[in-house]
Amino acid sequence: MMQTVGVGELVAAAARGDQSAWTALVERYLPLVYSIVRRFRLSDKDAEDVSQTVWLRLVEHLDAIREPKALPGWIATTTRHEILAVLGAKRRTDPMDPTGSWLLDLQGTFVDLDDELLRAEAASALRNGLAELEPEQRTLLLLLVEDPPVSYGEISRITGMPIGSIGPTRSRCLKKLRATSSVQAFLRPDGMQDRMDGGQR
Amino acid sequence: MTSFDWMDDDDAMMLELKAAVAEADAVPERLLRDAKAAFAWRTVDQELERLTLESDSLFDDLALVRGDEDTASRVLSFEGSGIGLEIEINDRVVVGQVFPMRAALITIVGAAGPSIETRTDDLGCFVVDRIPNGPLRVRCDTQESSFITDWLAT
Repeated sequence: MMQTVGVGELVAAAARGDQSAWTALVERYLPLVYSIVRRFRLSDKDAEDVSQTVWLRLVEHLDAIREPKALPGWIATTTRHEILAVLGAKRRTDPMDPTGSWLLDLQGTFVDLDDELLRAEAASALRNGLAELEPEQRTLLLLLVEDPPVSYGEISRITGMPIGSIGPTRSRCLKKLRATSSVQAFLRPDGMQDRMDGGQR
Repeated sequence: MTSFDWMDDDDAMMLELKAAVAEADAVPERLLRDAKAAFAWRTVDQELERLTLESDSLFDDLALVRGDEDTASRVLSFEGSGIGLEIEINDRVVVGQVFPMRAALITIVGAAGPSIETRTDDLGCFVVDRIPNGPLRVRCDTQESSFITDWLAT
């Protein structure tokens, strides 16, 4: 079984120069950055610039992160900030919109980002929980969420599991997933509170 | 607050899991590559003093939700010990000045491409005509010391 490594350990290891810890941080939180970037219909180039700036800034700030639980909030806030910088620079040179009304539009888009942050963290906890499962359990769950869907017949063929046991096994795998340290850490009330405080509202 | 029905509901949890897996799969390869590569900057210029951002006209305007016409430039001020740097970015052209006025070597460091160096005049003023695309930071070398800003998306 894969050992879960807490975000605090990853940050500390990355600050010491551990590239694999950095890669783990990127894999854990890049989907959060991208989910926020996507909402703003940025061009591919702008999306790349925003994301790259966020990660460059995080490299700079690794030593300064005192409360690792606040990291997702820091990442979300920095992402929003850099999106505004990129969009702002564009709108300012766009003669079609001299009124500054884009600021209001953008603020509207920010309203429910705290929900977005919580949802993104749930997603991250589920992906990390998935990585903690036994390979057979993980394989089954991944087959079941594939898009487009894979038929039970096909899943049975791939896994060697009788069609009739796929349903009950799925249920057992989900129970295991709920019990993983990643999902449990996400659900702990104190963890949740720390994350919201880290959102820097 | 979002509720997490999926903790007791298998079907809801499968939907949640499907979205979580799809979200990670949707991240473009290039973003992943650049994010991983950003780590290579960790030790570059680590020893230089940081110039901290004191003001950014773009966000000052945002805070005020100004509706009137604004200027096309973005003005940023940075401060370090005994030094100030002001830059104005307008359509990939950077005009700047070092305070107190003095000669300095300015480097626009691009994350994605080559850096551009220029010298200020005796009043600390400089112009860079065509800044690189992508994230950048500004380095300032005076006779006494060297400084660098954090990364900026422009």
